[in-house]
Amino acid sequence: MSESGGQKHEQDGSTAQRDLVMLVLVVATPDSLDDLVTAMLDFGIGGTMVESKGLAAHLREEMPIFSGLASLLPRATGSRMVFSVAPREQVDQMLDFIEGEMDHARRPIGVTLSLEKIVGLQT
Amino acid sequence: MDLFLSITVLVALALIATSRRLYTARRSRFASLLISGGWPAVLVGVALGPHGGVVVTEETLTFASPLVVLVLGWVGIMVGLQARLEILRRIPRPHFTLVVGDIIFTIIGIGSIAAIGLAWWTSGEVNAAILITPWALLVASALGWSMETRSLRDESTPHDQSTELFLRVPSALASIAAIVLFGLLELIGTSSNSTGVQTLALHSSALHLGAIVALAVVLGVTGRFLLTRAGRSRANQLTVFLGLVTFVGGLSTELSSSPLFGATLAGFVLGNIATNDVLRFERFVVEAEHMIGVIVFLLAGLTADFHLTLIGMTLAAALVFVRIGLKLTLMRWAAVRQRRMAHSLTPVLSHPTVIRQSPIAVALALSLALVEPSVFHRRLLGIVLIVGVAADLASLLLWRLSRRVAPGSGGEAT
Repeated sequence: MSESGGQKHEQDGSTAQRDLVMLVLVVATPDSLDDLVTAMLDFGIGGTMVESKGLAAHLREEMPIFSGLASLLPRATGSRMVFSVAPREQVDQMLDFIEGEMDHARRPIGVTLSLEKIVGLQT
Repeated sequence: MDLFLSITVLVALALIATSRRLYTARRSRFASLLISGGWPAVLVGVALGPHGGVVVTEETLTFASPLVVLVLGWVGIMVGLQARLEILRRIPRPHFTLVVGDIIFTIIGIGSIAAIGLAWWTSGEVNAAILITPWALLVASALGWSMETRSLRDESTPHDQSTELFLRVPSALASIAAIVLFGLLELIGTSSNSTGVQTLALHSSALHLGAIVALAVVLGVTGRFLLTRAGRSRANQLTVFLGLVTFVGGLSTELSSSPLFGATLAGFVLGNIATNDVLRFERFVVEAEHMIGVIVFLLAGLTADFHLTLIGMTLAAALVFVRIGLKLTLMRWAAVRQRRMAHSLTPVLSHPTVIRQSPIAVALALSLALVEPSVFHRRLLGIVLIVGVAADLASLLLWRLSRRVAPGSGGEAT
């Protein structure tokens, strides 16, 4: 196994070492989601998206002071988290896009994690 | 020397507040209830204010009036923005029924006590028309209850969101009703005072009301346009919003009306003609809720006068006891009605959060002290704060009693 990433098994049974990392994005601004998804597709990065809620939003819903009807507002929390396992070079392209092309106010928080082992990942 | 002492006290309070021991103690139900009620901020305000450490003098408070207008205007717009027709249509009928019941019970019960108490407090020396505004304040501040249910939630039972919504939504509606009720009656009462004739001045009240409604409509429409023009820039939107809030609050004050009332109307108009940009900005407005809440309570502590006579304290005590009886009776009435509709709300009966005073009461009392600054109105603010603290403590006591009677099933939100 590569020291820098996980192994990927090809369909013909041979293994190819690729430098895979996990990309985690916390997207707090819903209007930046479309740009991010488009960029991920352009760079060939797949992933899993889950709806999330910030701590402040949780406190607002649990401890309203004046705005008790806010819990009925017909919209999702607006926050999403994206998890993706992809080659390092693709992830770097994605991060370069986020830093270079997106407004500072709309940027998600992004982290990459090195992987020791991967199972179940298919092309 | 006084300044040195005050600073020493503040530093000591800060050290205590950030100590590990207090952090642990703060996790107790008692402490979390008081903190969620905003009472630490009130305490700090009292400690700093003209009746405490005199770090903030009466003169400074006068100069801080625009800050009070801004904060109250923010609260008003925040409340009004929620009163969108699309939201109100989604609220089930039983919630509205509960609010109507609360209004009727409160006007009859609290209204009677308030009328007797105010007449006794002023020794019957003032005309009834002058007491309209204080009476309206005491009645409006008794409407609804605290929307925060977390501090009295029982961890041993599953979290029942439907019951929590049944507690939270009617209280939010009652807050809107309280602002409107107080705003309308304050107009009548203020106009009666200003004419110098001790009778109801309905004609001038109607004119003032028309002016405030027109102001709200104009600012709502203008606000929509400006917030849309501000685009997605948070800084631009905030600038526009602060301008709107201050303008509607300030003009309402000049028209001798509560800034809460004018701002709520403006928020209602804005919310119902909102674009996506405005709705997006609403999140930011609501996100600042806790900070604004702390400021409201801090200003209330600074402004309140607790030099109450025995009559004033008796009035406060009577309001607390009547409040407890009324709210519990209201919940029992609501539960009986709901059983007819096959929606069991038995757990609500044992949830004493309904005894807790709504935070909007403090904002209303603060607005009265702002619009008509007088010792009497500051003492009324003091009464509202005392009722709030006492009601919070009573709710905690009842919660503990209900748990002893029925451990695991009593006193929870589920």
